[in-house]
Amino acid sequence: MNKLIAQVVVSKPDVRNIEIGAGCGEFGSQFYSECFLTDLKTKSKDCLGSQAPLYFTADATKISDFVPANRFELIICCNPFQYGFKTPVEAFTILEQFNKILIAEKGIVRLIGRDKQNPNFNVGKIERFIKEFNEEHNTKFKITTKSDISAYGNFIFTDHAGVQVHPNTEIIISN
Amino acid sequence: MENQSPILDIAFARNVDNHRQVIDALLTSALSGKNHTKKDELENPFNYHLADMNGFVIQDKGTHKKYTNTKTFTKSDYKYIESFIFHNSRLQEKSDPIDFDGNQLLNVTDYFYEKIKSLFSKDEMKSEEYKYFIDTTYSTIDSFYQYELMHPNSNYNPWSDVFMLCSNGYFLLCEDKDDLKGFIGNNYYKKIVGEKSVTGNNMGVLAKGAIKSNRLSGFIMDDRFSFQNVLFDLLQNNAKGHGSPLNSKQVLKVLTNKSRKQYHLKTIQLLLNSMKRTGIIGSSSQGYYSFHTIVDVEKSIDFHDAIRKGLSKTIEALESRRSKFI
Repeated sequence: MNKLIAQVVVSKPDVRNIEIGAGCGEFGSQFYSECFLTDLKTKSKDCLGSQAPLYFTADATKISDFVPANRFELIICCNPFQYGFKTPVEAFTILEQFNKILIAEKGIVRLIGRDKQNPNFNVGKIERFIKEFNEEHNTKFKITTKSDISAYGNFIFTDHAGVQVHPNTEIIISN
Repeated sequence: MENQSPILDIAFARNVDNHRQVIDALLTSALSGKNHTKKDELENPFNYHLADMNGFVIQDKGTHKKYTNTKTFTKSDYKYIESFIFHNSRLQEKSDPIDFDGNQLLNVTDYFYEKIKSLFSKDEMKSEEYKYFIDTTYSTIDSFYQYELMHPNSNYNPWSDVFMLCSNGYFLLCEDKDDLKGFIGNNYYKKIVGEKSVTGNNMGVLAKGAIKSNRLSGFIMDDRFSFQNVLFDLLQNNAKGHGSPLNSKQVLKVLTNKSRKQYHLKTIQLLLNSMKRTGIIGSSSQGYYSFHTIVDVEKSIDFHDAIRKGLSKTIEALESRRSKFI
């Protein structure tokens, strides 16, 4: 485990929310005030999200290397761009990470994306992969889909390069 | 691609209703194919694929700038550009994507996955030997059909060339040079990388013919993606329109005058040719140029149409010659 990062997480035992692949956005801290923001890219002064006090650099597909197991009640994943649910290997990689860092039987993952346009976020495929993952890993992930993200008001979603994207669906995975 | 089954004709493959026949043919071809995919058979279609992707990137100022200045090209870059294209297909198509039925895409990937499951044991599917080859093929089929569903019969589908590559053998995208070394061993790595100095975590591209074959070929990505962007900018500034084309030697000269870096004429020719093929730039017998008016595009069409007519005449003459031997 990366000691430096573990210190940030360990020093805030009450923070039970984490956003992975946060890019330059501050979605996690805007809607869940106590929330770690993480991204693969290193801290940049042009990147608002990366200036947040609870930000640290971490690869979403290896997030369990950076935080303790069984640690989070909520994982947020907005518009996955360079990882996600495109292929079986990619989907299983990220689900394994969720399985490791979520608090057992109390964890939720909020996935927000543009169904059918974002190749890493296809509702039908995610359902398939979760079913297979449950069968193989003896997990009990359940999935709920909402094709309405108006709860997030006029929040402007961007990719890590700052280009605006327009998600239309929220998937909630609970364990 | 030579000697391919008519089912693997790209026009037939594009129709999503044909996906079962196409996937069957593709798997048969890849399973029973020759043992070895030559490096050129992998590298050329992959370069066309990159040029097709660049057709989208160059139309967004920020993304074009970002990928003009990067010397490395990681798998993460590849994944980013992939998502960028799906979110910004309008840049190239000039029309919004169709809001297709998501089940159509699911039917395609499900069919492929079920077929794979019937061909490989569970252990084989999870083995390092097959897992990534299967996954890259899955990803390519998924991208190809997702784009077709979003923009049916478009000439801009950037996955056309790599989709056809799947019928010629399995290929995979490695994370970086260490990953690539793990697959092919240090000695063969040195052979395929050659004299190139590989810095950073450039993505590796690896192929084999029939899936059970252990003969691999491949290459490691260099700055070819960003170099295409550099060449595009160079033509924008120095070869404006059909009236002022630059041939590859002149392009090399402009580049050499600008920086001390060593450039290879063969690389320039290869990349300009990929860009020309994908319609990003125009060309005539005198060289390559950037498009500024419709006339520039029409001149390039005329030039290639004349070549096509010449080729048709040659084929007809050869057909007549053949009949004399029957």
